[in-house]
Amino acid sequence: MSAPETVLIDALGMKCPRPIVELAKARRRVESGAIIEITADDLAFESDVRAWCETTGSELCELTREDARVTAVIRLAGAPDA
Amino acid sequence: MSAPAAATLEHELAALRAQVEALKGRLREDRVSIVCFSGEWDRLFAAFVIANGALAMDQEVDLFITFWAAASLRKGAGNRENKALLDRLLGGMLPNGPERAPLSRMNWFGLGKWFFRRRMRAKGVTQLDELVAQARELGARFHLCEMSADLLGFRPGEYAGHGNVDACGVATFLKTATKGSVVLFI
Repeated sequence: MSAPETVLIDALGMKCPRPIVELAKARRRVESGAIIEITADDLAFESDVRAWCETTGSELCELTREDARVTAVIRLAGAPDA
Repeated sequence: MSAPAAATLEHELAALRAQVEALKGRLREDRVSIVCFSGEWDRLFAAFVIANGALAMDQEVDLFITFWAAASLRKGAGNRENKALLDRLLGGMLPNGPERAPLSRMNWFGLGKWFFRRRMRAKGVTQLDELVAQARELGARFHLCEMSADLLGFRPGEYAGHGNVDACGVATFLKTATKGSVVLFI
């Protein structure tokens, strides 16, 4: 079994709703089960990424905070039309 | 099990199945219906931030464009072709395109908006015209209120730049909105 594809997203400097839109776009490109690692410094991001994962059925594996910088590691559920 | 008992069970099962089917028809879909009524730049901005967020969360988004928003969300074609004088005048007095729309407060003859747009760039906030294009890209459906567009003298061709925009009436809005649990009038 091959390791799941990992996608890095740099959302630093992006404000709501850009970071979750970037997540959604990445999700349409990759296969279900892929890992996305996204870093953002928008203050709304931590709350929004939790909501995004819950709503899309993706798994929030890890969330680390370093000053204003939040990094989330997400295991994707399938995109709706994938 | 005796035959009559089995028959009763089967009967009950059929009744339950029918109930489940009926309930399925009443389930809410993940659908956001937004009536874009205001033509001001900041109100459109709010509408499209919500639309983009909803699309990113796999929700269906239906935008119903009516009245002043029908002016500000025009795109592409010019105002002149085959229009009666009054239609042309109306079209010329109203903002043609989202980035020409004024702020609802502190517009200061466009100076306020220029200032806001500059700050948005500096702070990494997506601009309104990009949000509109992105909503479209992510699958938002645009519906144009045929009555108000006609009242203001707009032609369907003036929305052609958005891609497919279907003309609709209030019944289409109500039918669509009833299926979702988020309905906004902005």
